[in-house]
Amino acid sequence: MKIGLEVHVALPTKTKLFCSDSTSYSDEPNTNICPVCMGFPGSKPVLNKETLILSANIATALHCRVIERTSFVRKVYFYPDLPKGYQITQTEGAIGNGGSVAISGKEVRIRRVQIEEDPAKVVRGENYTLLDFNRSGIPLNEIVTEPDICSESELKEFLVELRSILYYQGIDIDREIKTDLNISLAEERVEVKNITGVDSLLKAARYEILRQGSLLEENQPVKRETRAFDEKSGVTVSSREKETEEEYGFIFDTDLTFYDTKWIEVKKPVIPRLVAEKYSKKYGYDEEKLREAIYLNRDNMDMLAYVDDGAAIEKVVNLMQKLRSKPTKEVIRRLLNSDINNLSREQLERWVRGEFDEPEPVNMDEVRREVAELLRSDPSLSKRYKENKNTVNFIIGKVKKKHNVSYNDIVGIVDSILSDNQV
Amino acid sequence: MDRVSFEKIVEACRLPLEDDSEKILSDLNEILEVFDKIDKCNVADEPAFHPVGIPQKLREDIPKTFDNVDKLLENTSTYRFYVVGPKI
Amino acid sequence: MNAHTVMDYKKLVSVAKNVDEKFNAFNAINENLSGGRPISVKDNICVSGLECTASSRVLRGYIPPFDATVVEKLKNKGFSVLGKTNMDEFGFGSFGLNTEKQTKNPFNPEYCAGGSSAGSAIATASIKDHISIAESTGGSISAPAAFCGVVGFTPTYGTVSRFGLIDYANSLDKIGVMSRTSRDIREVFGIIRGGDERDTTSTDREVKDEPKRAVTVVDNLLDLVDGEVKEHFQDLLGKLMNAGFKVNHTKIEGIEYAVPVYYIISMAEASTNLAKYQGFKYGKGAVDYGTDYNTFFKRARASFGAEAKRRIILGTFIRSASVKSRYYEKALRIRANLIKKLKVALKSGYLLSPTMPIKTPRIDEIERLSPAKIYAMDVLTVLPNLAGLPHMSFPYAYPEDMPIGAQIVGDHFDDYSVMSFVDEWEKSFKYKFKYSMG
Repeated sequence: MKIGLEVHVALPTKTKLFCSDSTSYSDEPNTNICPVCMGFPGSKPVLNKETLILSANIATALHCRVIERTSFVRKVYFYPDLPKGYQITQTEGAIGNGGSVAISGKEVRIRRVQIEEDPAKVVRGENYTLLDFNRSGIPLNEIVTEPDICSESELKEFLVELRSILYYQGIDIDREIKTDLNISLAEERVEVKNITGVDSLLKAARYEILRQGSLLEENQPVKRETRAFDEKSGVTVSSREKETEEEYGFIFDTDLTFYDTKWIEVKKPVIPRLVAEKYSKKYGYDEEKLREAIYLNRDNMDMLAYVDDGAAIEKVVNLMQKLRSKPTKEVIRRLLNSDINNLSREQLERWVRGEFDEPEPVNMDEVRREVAELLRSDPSLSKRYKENKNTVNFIIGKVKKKHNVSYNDIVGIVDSILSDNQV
Repeated sequence: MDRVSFEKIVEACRLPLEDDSEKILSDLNEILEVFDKIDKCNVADEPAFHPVGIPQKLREDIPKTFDNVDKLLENTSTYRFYVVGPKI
Repeated sequence: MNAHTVMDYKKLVSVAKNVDEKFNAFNAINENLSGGRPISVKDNICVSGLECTASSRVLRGYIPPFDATVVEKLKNKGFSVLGKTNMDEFGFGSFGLNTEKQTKNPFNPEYCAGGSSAGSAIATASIKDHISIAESTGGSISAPAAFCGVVGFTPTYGTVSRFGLIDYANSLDKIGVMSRTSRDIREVFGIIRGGDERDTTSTDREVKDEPKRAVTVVDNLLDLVDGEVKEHFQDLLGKLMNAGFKVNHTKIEGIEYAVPVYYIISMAEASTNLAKYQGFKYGKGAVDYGTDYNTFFKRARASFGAEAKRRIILGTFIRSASVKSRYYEKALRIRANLIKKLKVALKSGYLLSPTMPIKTPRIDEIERLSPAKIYAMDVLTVLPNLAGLPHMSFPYAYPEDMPIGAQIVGDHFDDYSVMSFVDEWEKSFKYKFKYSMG
C-alpha cells in the first residue's frame, strides 16, 4: 500500500498572501476583500513578507532545504471559487524541498513545501453558488509527501507528528486542514481530493483501503481516478471529472519576481518527537508519556526546563498531566518539593494558583548550613547580634528568599550556632 | 496541431467550438509554422522572465482595508453579502 | 496651462464626440468633464467610475472601483480624463481593427489607424494639444503613432506602474504616452513614472538624460522593410548626418526570431490573464447561474473576439507540458540572448529604424491577410518591446500626404535620452496634422 498526501495549512498571518486585507474568518462575507483577491482586471499581487518567514521556518522544521531564490507560478484551471482563473502557487521554485518527518522505524519523505493562495469559500446552492472572497488569498503552505506511508497506523502516526511539528510553528491544523489523499493498494493511484479535517482524512483512507481491498479480492481492477469524500455518509465517491489529468500549463508569474530567502532568520525548530526522545533517554522515563504531555502543549514543553534529574521528570510529567494551566516558576519549585502524586486535582489547582493551605515544609538542616555560612563570611554579624537581637531580621531577609522560616526559628538557629562556636 | 488536440484545448480553455473551426485551426497552424522557426535557434542563455532585473518587493504584514468594497460588489450579483456564481 | 472655461469643456466633449463619429476613437467619453487639463486614456487602463472594457464584449459594464496608479498621479497633478480610447481587444492587434468599432486613420478614413493604441493616436492626431496615455506590449504605441503621425513614447519596462492596467502580457506591458511634441511627453512621463508599492515589477530607478550623437542602423532588420519606406528612411539618415549625427551600421544575428519569440511569450502569458473572464464578478454577461459552471463559463467566453480566442488557444497549447520547453522556455532563452545583443549594439548610440516595414495600409488590404502575415508586420516594433527598451516613434515624412514614422531606441533607463533625440529632431522638422480640433 502506498499513501501520499498533499496537506494544506493556513499560515497565521494578519494579512493575505498578495494583498493587505485582513485574514479574519469570522467577519461578514465579502468584507475583507479588494480588487487583488477578487481577481479584478488591473489588480496586481505584492507578496506578504511574513509568509516567506513563516514558510522558511516550516520548511526547516520539516527538514527541507530552503531554496535560495523562491518564485511563483500560475496554475490555470476553471472553477467558480478561483477568481483569476489561475492560482498563484509554487513548483520548481518552491520554498522548501526534500525534507522528512520521522515516524516509528522510518521516515516519510517530504517532497516539497510550497506557498500558495486559498480560493474563495463556496456555499453550494441548487441553482447557483454563493462565494465568500474573505477566504480568497489567505496564505497556505501545501506540504507534499512522497508516497511513503504504507498503512493506516503509519498514516495516523504521521498526522500526529506533522500536527505537533506545525503546532510549534504556530499552526493548529485541527482547526482547518485540507488534504488531497493519494492512495493505491495496487498499481493505479486513486486521488481523494479536498478532505477537510484530520478525522475525515483518516475515515476516507480507511474507506479506500476497504474499497480497493475488496475490489482486488474479487480480482477486479482499481481504476485510476479522482474521488471525493462525503462527510455525511463517510464514503468516497467517484468525481465526475474527466479521466484525463487536467493540464495546468504552469508558467512563471511575471507579476512577481524571484525572492531571496537568505536574509530570513530561521529559528531552530522544535521537533517534539526529538525532545521526548532526548528526555526519555537522559532520565530513563517513558517516551510515550512525554510525547502525550508535550506534543500539543507549549506550557508543558516549557516545564521540561525545570527537569534536572530522574526524580524531577517523574514529577514534572505528573504535573503536566494534572494541570490545566502553567504555574509560575516559584510555584513549580515548591510543587517539585511536595508529594504531588497523592494530591487531588482540586488541591493541585489551588496550589498552582499559589493558595497553599499549610506553610512550605522547611529543611532546617539546610537553613542551619546557610546561616552558619553567612555568619562565617561576615564575622561582624555575630558581634552585632550579641549587641542587638534585631540584627536577626537581616539574617532572615537573606535566607527567607529560599526558605519559609519564622523569626523564632532563626533566633534559635543563630543562638545554637553561636553557642556551638564558643565551645 | 491536429484536430483532436485542437478540440481538447478549446474545451480546456472553456471556449465554444465555432462553426468555422477548420479555418481557425488552419490559421493557428500557419502561426505555429512561424513559431517552429525557433527550433533552428540554439542559445544557452538563462531564461529572461523579465526584460530587466526586477528586485524583490515585499509587503509588511499590516492589514489595510480597501476603501471601496461596495463599489467592488456593484459589479457583481450578490445575495446576503455573498457573490452569486454559477452552479457546481 | 491655459485656464479652460465651462464652455471650453463642453466644446471639448463635443470635439471628442466628433472625432469618435469620424474615426471611432473612443470607447467612453466623460460627459461630465468640467475642470482640469484634459487627457485621454487607453481603455485597458482603469479610471474609477468610467466603464472599462479593453474593447472586449466580455468586460462590457465593468466599472472599476479604483484608479490606475498613472491616472491617480495625473489627477493629482490637475489632469482630468476626457475619455477612454478605442483599441484592439485587450491589445491584440497592430492595426486597430480587432475591435467592434473598427478605427480609421484621421489622414484618410479608408486607411488603418494602427494598433493597438489606435484611439489614443487618433485623438492625439485630431485634437489640438492633446495628450493620451497609451500602452504597448509589442509595438502598440509605435505602430499607431507612426500611422497617425504623432509622437509615441514607450518607456523602459517597469519605470511606469502597471497597477490598474488590464494585463495582456505581464512581462511585456508598458504604459506610455502619445502627444504632438516630445516636450509634452517629457512632462507627462515625469509625472507618471516611479515605483509603486502596488506593482511588484515597478521601479524607482533613476532615468537618465544623456543625449547621444550617433545612431546605429541594423542592416539585416532594414532588409525586411518595403522599398519605398526604405528610400524615405535613407533620406532621414542623410538629414541626421547633415545635422552632425554619426550613422553606424551593424548586423544582429537572430533578429528573425524576434516575432515568433514575442508571440510565444505574449500568448502564453495572455492565455493565463484571460482565464479570469468568466461572466460573473465583473462585466455583465450571462446571468443563468443555474447552468453548470463549465457551460456558464463557455457561454460568457464565447463573446471574446476572434483574435483573443486564437491567442487563448495557442497560448494554452504552448504552455502545455509536452511542448512547453520547445516553445515557451526556448523563447525565454532567445529573449535573453537578443537583449544581450541589443545592449551591445546600443553601446555605440541609439538604434534607429522605420517604425513599420510598410506605409500606412488600407483597411481592406489588412483584412485580407492571414493572422501570421499580420504578425510579420511587427518585425521592427517587437525588438525593443521584447527587450523592455525605451523607444519613441516620430513622424519624419509625408509621402502622398500620409505620415510615416521612425523609431528611436535607447538603452534601459535611458528614457530621457530618447526624448532628447526627438526634441532635437523637432527643432528642424515641423509635424503636419490634418485636424487640430478644439
